[in-house]
Amino acid sequence: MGCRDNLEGDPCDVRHGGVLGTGPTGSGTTHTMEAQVVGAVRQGAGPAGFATLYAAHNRELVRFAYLLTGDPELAEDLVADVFAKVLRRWGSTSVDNPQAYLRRAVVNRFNSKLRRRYLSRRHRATADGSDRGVVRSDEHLAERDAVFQALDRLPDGQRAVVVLRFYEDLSVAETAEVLGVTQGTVKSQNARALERLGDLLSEEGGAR
Amino acid sequence: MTTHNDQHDVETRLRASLRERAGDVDTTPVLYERVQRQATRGQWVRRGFALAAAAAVVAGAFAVVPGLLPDQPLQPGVLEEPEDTAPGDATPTEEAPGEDSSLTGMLLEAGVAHAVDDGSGGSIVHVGDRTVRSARQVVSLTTASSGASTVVVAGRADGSIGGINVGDTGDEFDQLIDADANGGRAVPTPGADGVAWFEGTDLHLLPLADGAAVRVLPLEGDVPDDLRIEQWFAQADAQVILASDPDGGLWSIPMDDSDVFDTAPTDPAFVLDEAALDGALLPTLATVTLQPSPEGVVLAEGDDLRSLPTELPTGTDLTLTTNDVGGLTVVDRETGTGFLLELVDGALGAPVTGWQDPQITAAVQVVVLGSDAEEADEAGDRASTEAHTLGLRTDAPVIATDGVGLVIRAANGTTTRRDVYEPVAESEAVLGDLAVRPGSTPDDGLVAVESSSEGETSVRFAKLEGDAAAPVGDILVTDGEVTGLVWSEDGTVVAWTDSTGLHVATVEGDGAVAGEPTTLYDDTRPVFDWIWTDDDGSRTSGLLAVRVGEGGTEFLGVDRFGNGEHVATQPGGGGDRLFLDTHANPGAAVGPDVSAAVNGRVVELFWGADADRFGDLPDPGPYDFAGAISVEVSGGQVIVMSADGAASMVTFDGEVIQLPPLTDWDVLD
Repeated sequence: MGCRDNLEGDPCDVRHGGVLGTGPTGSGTTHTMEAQVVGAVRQGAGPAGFATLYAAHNRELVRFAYLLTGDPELAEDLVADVFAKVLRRWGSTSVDNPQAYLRRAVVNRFNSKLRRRYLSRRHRATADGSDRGVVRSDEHLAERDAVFQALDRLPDGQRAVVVLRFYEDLSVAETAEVLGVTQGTVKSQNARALERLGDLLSEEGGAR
Repeated sequence: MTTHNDQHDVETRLRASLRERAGDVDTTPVLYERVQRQATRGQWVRRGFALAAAAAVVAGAFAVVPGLLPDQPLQPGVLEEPEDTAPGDATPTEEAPGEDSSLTGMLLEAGVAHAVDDGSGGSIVHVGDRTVRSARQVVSLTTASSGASTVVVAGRADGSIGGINVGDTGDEFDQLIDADANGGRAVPTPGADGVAWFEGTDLHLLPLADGAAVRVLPLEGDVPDDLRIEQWFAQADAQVILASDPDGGLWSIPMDDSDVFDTAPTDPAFVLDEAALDGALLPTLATVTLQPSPEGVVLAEGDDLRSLPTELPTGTDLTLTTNDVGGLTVVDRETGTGFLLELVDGALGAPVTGWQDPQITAAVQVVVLGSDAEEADEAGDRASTEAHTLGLRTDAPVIATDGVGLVIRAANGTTTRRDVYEPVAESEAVLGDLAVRPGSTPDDGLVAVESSSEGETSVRFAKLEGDAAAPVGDILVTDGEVTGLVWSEDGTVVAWTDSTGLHVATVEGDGAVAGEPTTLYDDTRPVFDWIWTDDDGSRTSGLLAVRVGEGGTEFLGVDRFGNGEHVATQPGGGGDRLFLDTHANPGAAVGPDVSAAVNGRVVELFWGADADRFGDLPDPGPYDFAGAISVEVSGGQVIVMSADGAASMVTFDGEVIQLPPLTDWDVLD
């Protein structure tokens, strides 16, 4: 069954094409599925193109955004904005590597001033979750994760670096490209982040 | 000190945690739905971004995601009104951009029909004495004649069209035309014997005759695919459709007078600004203001004040719209009661026809369409000097950024887009805080705007000149996100806050920065106003207003020396900084003299540095500002922005004008 025929609510199962989901980067399956997505994207304004792109990357992108922000609603905002922007420009933008493009767009969005708006919304959020585009399986799990809590205390830049390096498994050069900074900055941010995380986890361990 | 083993342990735990936590979240179909809504909502400001392709994808995407389709897919012909649970109504607060959908009003043969928002995404339509509900928001009302009966036709925000016979007794729309009307708007033919709307670039016509089918007439020529039909006029020897595009441009489309139902219109003409329209094509446009006075309410046309022949108590919560007989429909938003002002000899006046025991209490600004083209000719010079607008009048033009470009809403209500930073925007730049140099106009102005791209944030300057806007002057690279950007009152200094503190720089007329910027304070809270306080006008002593906490304001002193150097000072010669707990409500901000705060549905007004509350803006009716995160006061209006970017302009007369989603804005002189 083709992807186009399988897009119902939970879109078609090409999500493992991304490195953010279940599989490691660079597998043959990944390349095959990514090639399918690229092919769909290159269909230009064809209606199946965007749906395929969305189906392939929405979940991984939300998870990536969640790790950047620590907040599922904020992740939803970021990803929705990014896909909406892509949809508006659909047919007029040439993208060779949609996964990298989307990932970078999420990071840019995360770094943009619009985040202020998101954060403000976050502080006053009252949604009960029934109408959310992103749901969390167990909201208490993250609270019990000391590493994740420590991650939340890192500056945004350091947090983005460690997510890209240790979740996305990107190289220093790839991380620098996504963040739009030098490789030296990535190295220094990474070192500071690990040191800070080590300190925070030691404090946490000592407090127990 | 962290050892190698420690670091390895941290890395291992970090990898495991990240992968586990990533599995905590998953997506639902609502996300896809939201993406499509957002994409559609943003189209109006993105002219040139392949609108046709995007629209096609939206339609196509629905086609391949059946789970997102309404439970009751629309079919050609007559259908029942869908249930409220239709996915299109999932987020009732998200309306078509730029759509003042709070009320539409018109005159019917059998009475007056008008629609008001029901607060949950639908509308309540009053047809004479009858109340009809629509699960979908009504954005236009019109009537047409079908045999002996009159049909009220409602265009809805989702593009569908509902209809109900005036003579029926039902309380729900009993007809639904399978339409996807651009902007959800439909208008009657001049003979009221049919209804017209645009779908894409096709003009759709439904003759109100038994058994008649919808006629589809493609527009010839290069026209946008999202024209919204505004009005259809009959002239002495021609008929003309007036349509608007999402950027505020107007289009004039001549129609074949001999056979409008079957002859495709030709030669659509783009009119950049409605002020440039040939007066013969439009009815008289007259700006009329209702104002409170000791005698009651007067009409004001320019400096000409006349008392209304009917007493109108002053108060709040009115909406006024034009109607098809060249008059004014006045409706109380909450009660739905109101009355009709008819146009007599080209001006509003007697008689005043009421309905339903009106409890009218308001003073609002309106724009009134005159009765016919002949009056336009007779008006001559008067028409040329009056505001030509099809929308509500505002006191001052507003310049805004939606994150990609600049949007200017002129004083006459027109909106134009200026893609100042298109090269930057194409590389994912985001425009943020924006501040207009005092004294600027849309044709001669200087704007400072924050631009973030490739991990670098800067303050750039753009020159406004005619229809163009272009980057000029120097680029001030900041240390991270700018959370406040203001000009001094005299337009010589710009101040901003970034992650390292509050900085100031002297700026020349062409955007060139004189000398090096000065870091004035290490305070990183956003600055939002700069007031020179010296009495002699020497501009050597001033105060910077900084927002603290929930609406509190702190004033930071600043002195300027003859060499242009700025230094931080303690206001009043020492001691603590001045702190003004302006008002505890969220979103409070201080203007030069008047400050405002949002308190739920009400905008409260305060005066002077002591923030003496002197009154409230009129109740905004269906609008609710409870989610406001930013309130700005300037001129005769208050601009309120909510966390999701939705913005409203509230005039001191109480009119609420919805603005498109914005990132930031300022007011031009």
